[in-house]
Amino acid sequence: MAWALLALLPLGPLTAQSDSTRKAERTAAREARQSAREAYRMQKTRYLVLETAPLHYGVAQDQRMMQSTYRGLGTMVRMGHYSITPKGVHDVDWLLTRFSVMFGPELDALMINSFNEFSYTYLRNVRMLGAWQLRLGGTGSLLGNLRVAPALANSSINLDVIASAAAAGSLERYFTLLKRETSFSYQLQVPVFSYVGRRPAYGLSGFGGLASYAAPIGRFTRVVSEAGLTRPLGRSEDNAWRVAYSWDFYAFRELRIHHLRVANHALSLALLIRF
Amino acid sequence: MLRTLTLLSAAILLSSCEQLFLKPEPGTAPSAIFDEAWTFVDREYAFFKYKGIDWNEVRSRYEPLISDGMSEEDLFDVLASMLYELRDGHVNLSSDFDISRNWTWYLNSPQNFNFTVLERGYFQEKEQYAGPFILYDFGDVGYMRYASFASTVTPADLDYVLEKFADRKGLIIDIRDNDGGSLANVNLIASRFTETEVTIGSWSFKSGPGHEDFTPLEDIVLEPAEGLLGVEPKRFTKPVVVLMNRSSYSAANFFPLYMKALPQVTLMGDTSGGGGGAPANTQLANGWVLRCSSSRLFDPQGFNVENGIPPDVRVDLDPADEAAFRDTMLELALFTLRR
Repeated sequence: MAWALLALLPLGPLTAQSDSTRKAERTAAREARQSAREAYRMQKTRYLVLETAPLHYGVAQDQRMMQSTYRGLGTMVRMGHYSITPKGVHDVDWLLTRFSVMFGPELDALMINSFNEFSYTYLRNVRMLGAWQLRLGGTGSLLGNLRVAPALANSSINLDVIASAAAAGSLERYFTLLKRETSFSYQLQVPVFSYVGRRPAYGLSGFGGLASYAAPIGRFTRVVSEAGLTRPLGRSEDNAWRVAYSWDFYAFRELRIHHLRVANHALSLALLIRF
Repeated sequence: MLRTLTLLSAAILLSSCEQLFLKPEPGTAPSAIFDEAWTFVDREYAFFKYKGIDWNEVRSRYEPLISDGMSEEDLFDVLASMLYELRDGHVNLSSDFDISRNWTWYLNSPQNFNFTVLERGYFQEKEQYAGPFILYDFGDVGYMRYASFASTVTPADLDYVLEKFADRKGLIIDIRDNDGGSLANVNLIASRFTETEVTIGSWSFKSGPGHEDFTPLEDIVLEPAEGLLGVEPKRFTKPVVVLMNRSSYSAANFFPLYMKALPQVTLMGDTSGGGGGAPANTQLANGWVLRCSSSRLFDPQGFNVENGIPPDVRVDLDPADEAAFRDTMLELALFTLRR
């Protein structure tokens, strides 16, 4: 015990000195991290995105419901949060509705198609290809597509619920158009694994639930492709607007019986509000 | 700039290629429509084996009757005859000018229901129309007629009926000539007659193109009705007689399946009409709508109820009773509940 006390006596001031040094180092490191975060925040550009396609074109070929292809027009409303960082982009998207009224070749046959989706995309800057910024990343999404064909009585309501993990990539370049800096971007998403749920045909409310399938690439196919031009809004350097053309197509074969193909084309206009 | 516009154009063109993936638009010639109809039934119909039907053999008899120059009506008649071979009330082809059907399940049996007898022999303008139900109070026994499971039932309707008859010895539920409708209504009504969960049967669905491709059997469980906002729903656990005839079809075939699993319930009358297979519908390329049974329904003992559910007490309307405005089934139900 006495030896222990003896051993501790001369170490007291040294330990205190070492503690204060470490404390100072920790504080410095924390401040450095904070300032790095602050710098990162300063470099991060965040937008609230409000988007609409006053008119879009939809195609549905659901061979459980009908043998013919249905086509029609509708409208689309989407909102989201889009942020650009030095390392890449984050895009949280909520497709509130993509609603269309479709008709078969016999124009008296009607179908209503309503599509909703929530997704998150992260695209990391990979490299420059000349003037083009290549970004690669992924998308996680959950979508619901409701098709209602009143002529089909108790089979009139069909619902697909699909959760997907997709590979995503984009190309973007900036150029001057009409004296303003403009960007053109093209983005592609292809799910590599999905979980597909489909309501049984019988319209038995509360019975049977969703028939669901794990669907790796090949069993469930989806391609989301979007090309858009983004320009500053008015004299503001903060806000922007974007005009984009998007094509969204998915297909799967249910129970080895029925082919389902759904495609949508939309020419949309978006307002990007910086905050 | 030019390169950008080129890329933009290429992206748009590449993005519009769903035509590559879409199946070719089906033809509307009679031979194509015949093929569509036969194929849909071949893949969806649930009872080929149960009914011993060789669908390929059926095709071989009807296909030669099809020619691309035939009229719409003639094509409809050939398809209707082919579908008639399935002997199934849930198999119909609907066009603008007709609906193909097989109603032999009740046309070859006694009708066992006459509303005039009820009106003149019993109700005499004293009946009550409460929501989708016709109610009549025999004093010691309540009577509730439900003419169609397509008529919407609300919890409030059921609360009213069961409160009204709460003090009676028993209740008669008359589903004769009820040709079905929504299974949600079946569940809603039956859930008022039990205080515990009851397995009422099982079912399975087509799961592939083969005639015997089905999902595993799945139990159907009747759960007691739940209250709203802490208010307990009205229930009836005293004796109940369900009156049925061969025209009690589809959802009105499910209802006795649910009710016979309950200890206080007696099924009375004729075997129900059947229709245990839930129908799947599709629209053919010419706009006609085709439906066929695409699931199988079994009672807890594994009995396939496609052709109906036998009653616990078999009784027909006696013509002499009918002539005197007496309903033989109703009288036996009253006698049973008053004992």
